[in-house]
Parts: sequence; C-alpha cells; structure tokens
Amino acid sequence: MNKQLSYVLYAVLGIVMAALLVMTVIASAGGNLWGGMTTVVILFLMGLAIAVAVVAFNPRKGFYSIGFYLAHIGIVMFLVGSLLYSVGGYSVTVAVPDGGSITPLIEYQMIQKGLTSDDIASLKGYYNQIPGRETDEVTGQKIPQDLGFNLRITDFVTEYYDEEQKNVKHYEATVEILYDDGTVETKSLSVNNTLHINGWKLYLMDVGIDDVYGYGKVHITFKNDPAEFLSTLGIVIIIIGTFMMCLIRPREKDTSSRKGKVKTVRSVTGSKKGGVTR
Amino acid sequence: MTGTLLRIFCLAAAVFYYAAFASSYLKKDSRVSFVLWMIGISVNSGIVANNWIVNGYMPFVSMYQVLTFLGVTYGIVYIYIRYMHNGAWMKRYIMISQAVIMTGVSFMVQASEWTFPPALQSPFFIPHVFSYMISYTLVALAAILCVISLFIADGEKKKYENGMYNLVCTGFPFMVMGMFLGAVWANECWGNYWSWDNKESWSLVTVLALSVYLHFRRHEKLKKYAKWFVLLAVVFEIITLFFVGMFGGNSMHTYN
Repeated sequence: MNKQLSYVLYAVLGIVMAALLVMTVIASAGGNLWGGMTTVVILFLMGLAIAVAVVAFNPRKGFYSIGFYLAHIGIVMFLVGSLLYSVGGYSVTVAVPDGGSITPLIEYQMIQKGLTSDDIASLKGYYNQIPGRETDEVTGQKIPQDLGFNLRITDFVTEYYDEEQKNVKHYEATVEILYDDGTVETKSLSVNNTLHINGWKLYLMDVGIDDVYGYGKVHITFKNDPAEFLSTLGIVIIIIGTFMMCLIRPREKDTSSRKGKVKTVRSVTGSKKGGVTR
Repeated sequence: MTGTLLRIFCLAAAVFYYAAFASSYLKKDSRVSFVLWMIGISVNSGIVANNWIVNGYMPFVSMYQVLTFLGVTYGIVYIYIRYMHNGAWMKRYIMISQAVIMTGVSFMVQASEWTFPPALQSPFFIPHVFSYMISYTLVALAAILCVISLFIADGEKKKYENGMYNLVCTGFPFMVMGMFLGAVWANECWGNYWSWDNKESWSLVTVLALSVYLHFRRHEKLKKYAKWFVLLAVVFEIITLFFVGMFGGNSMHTYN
C-alpha cells in the first residue's frame, strides 16, 4: 500500500478509536452527549474504525483469514441491522388494562367515581391501537397506530419467594388474541418469554395498579424490528469469527534475530535510512 | 454452613495460595508449591460447591459468590494455558491472583440467601456470566505479565509479551461473547440490545481497549504503544466489576 496513505489511515484509526473510548467513558460516567444521537454517532464511528482497520491492517493469508473476515463482516451486519431498526423499526411501552382484575367490587367503585358501563366495557374489551411514531401537531398527542390484531389480558399471576411478598419469583399474563379473520388464541406472556404476533414482538415489562380506579395494568412493550434476524445473525457471526481469529492463529515467526542481523548489515554499509528507522 | 465457618474456609484458601506462591520461589518446579496450590484450589472449590448447593443453581448471584467462583476459574484457565501455550511458568502469577481474590472475599459478607428475580431466569444467564469470568481472569493475568515486562531486561521481555498476547487472545473472544450474549438476552428480556447502562458502557470500554491492543500489536510502528492498552483495559475491567456495583446508582447489573 501507498506509504503516505497508510500513515493517514493509522492516524484516522487512532483518532477514531480514541474518540470512541472517550465517548464511551463519558457515556459510562452518566454524561449525556447528544441525547438520543449518542448511539448513532458511536455506531457510525465504529463502522468507520472497522473500515479503516480492514484496509490498514493486512489480514492473515489463507485459512487463518476466515475468522478475520467473519468477525468484521459480522460487526458490519450488526451495524446495518441497528441502522435499519433506527430507520424502519418502532418500539413503545403501553400500560394495557388487565380485564381480569376488574372484579364486581372494583366495577362498583368505578361507577361510584363516575365511569359509565361503556367505559368499563372498553377497559375489559380488546386493545388494538398503540401510540404511533408521529405526533399530532395540534393536540401534541401521538397519532394512534393499528396493531393488526386485537388483544386483551384475561388474567395475571404474580408468585413470590417469601410470605411478605417482597421478592418476586414469577410474573405471568394470560393474553387472548383475536385476529382479523375471527380466530381466537390464548397465550401466556412472561418476562424472558416473548410473544411474536404479526411482526410485533411483545415483552412483559412491569405491572401496576391504576391510581384512581384500582384495576390492574400490565406494561407491555410492542416492538417491530424489521432487521432482527440480520442483527442476531451478525452477533452469531461476530462470536464465531472472534473465536476463530483469536484461538486459531498461525505460529508467530520469531523475527527479532533476523531483524537484528539486517540492522547490523545496514549500519556496516552506512545506509542513512537503516540508521534512522531503528 | 454458617457465615463464620465460610469465612474461615475463605481465609484458609487464601493462606494456601499465599504459601504456594511463596514456596514457588524457593525451588524451581517445586512440588511443595504444587501440593499447597492444589489444597488451596480444593478448599476454594469446596466453598463454591457449598454455595451451589445452598442456591440450588450456579453460584453467580452476589459479589462474594462470583469472586469465589473466579478463584476456581483461574484453575480451569491454567489447564488451557499450560497445554496450549506452554504456560507452566505463569503458575505463580495465577497463585498470587487467587490469593488476592480470596483475601478480599474473606472480608465480604458470606450471605447465601438470595432470590432469583424473573429477569435473570434465562438460559443466557450462565453463559453470559461464565464467559465474562473466564475473560476477566485472563485479562487480569495479562496485566500482571504486562507490569512485570515493564521492569525486566530485554531478553526476558519477549517471553512475557508473548505470554501476555496469548492470554489476551484467549480472553478476548470470551469477553466479546459475554457482551453480545448479554445484548441478545437484553433484546429477549427488555426489547433493547443496548441501553447505555453504566456497567454495559464500561464493559464496552474494556472491549474497545483490548481491541486497540490487538490492532496495534499487528502494526510494527504502533506495536510499542500496544501494551499500555492492556493496563488501561484492566483498569476499566476493575471499574466494571467493582466500582459500578458500588456507585453505579441506576444500573440494572447491581448486585452486592
């Protein structure tokens, strides 16, 4: 490679890596760099660093270079996946009312506090819209977005380790899903056990009780990630590639003695370059 | 087992490790040192086994349990380095690391009662923590070799620097695996690969510092600066492992 170009590339790599280190240290210390842009900028810098590293540091030859390519291609795939998510993906957390928790007593209290039976029916009924990406400029509210299916929570169970109910052992919500074609399915949703419905991924986040009316609420995150497969595949490839690159290495040639000889020859011949470089 | 008894066992393991380290200097390839070391590892494994039985699952739930397990991990790691990289000469640095860890452990609270919250009940939990532990032991050892290589004659230097490179090369993929398994797990649990949690960010800094080392080492001009990044990495590693747990207010990785 062109010598001057390679010097420039090393300088760029050094600066980018230093910038990444400093930025992550600031982010670690709780500093807010540019709000939501931090991830995007760091991902961009990582991509740049990888590109420069691939060009500037010659990979090994032949079989030993497989790990190198896998690891770096994996990072690129993961970065592309993240980029696609930030462009076309969406995620929002919503408190969905737990219809099963509205007992006759709670219903009576709700009516006492001024709710009509229609309101209660809608709380018990199916839920099919989430706050969308765009904000209505007049009202300042998120424009609702259709989910493409209806869901309602019919039951919620919390198990504890202790009698005082301080340490939670297990959360589980029973979700009833009504599809557009009329089929009804009952599924269970718990932490670390997500639901995949019509391209949406549902996560159980938290539970709570409505402050005013006292019915239960289940906080569910709805996530739509078009590039989830790409990102996960990228991660798998990164892990495999890094293991191959680091554990299957060619034996290092001990060049120190040979270099020493070359140096002495040069100094004997009085070459200026040989004297200056080392 | 009661806390006091456990504390005595931790101290005993530490004393055996110190004794093994000291006696390794008395004679080259000392058999006494090896026997003392094996007794230390046995006591250490006994404590881990006790924690495991009390918990009912892998003992990874408090700092005390993680660090006692770390002591045993050094033994596992030694077997690999011994046979793959002729690392028998690194034995004494493993001994002193284990001794320091077990000394620290014996001043901690040996509380074994702990509950397992829903977020941790995942198949990713054990590989995530275990791969981090393997990489932390290897990077800590590499940093010890790095410090020594700063103060010795040029002839020996090469051996220590190569040893350091082998250790980092073994530990780095485990660190990467731990980090990305954590990301996949977070995506399964919270719907986010990465959330700039304090511990996450510091672990990314550690990985970045090590990757700078690995890249610089492949270049003849930058090679001489490379090993400072191993020292930097071990500083970041200590911050990740201990300080975030102590001061990192809103981290979801806090345990004590």
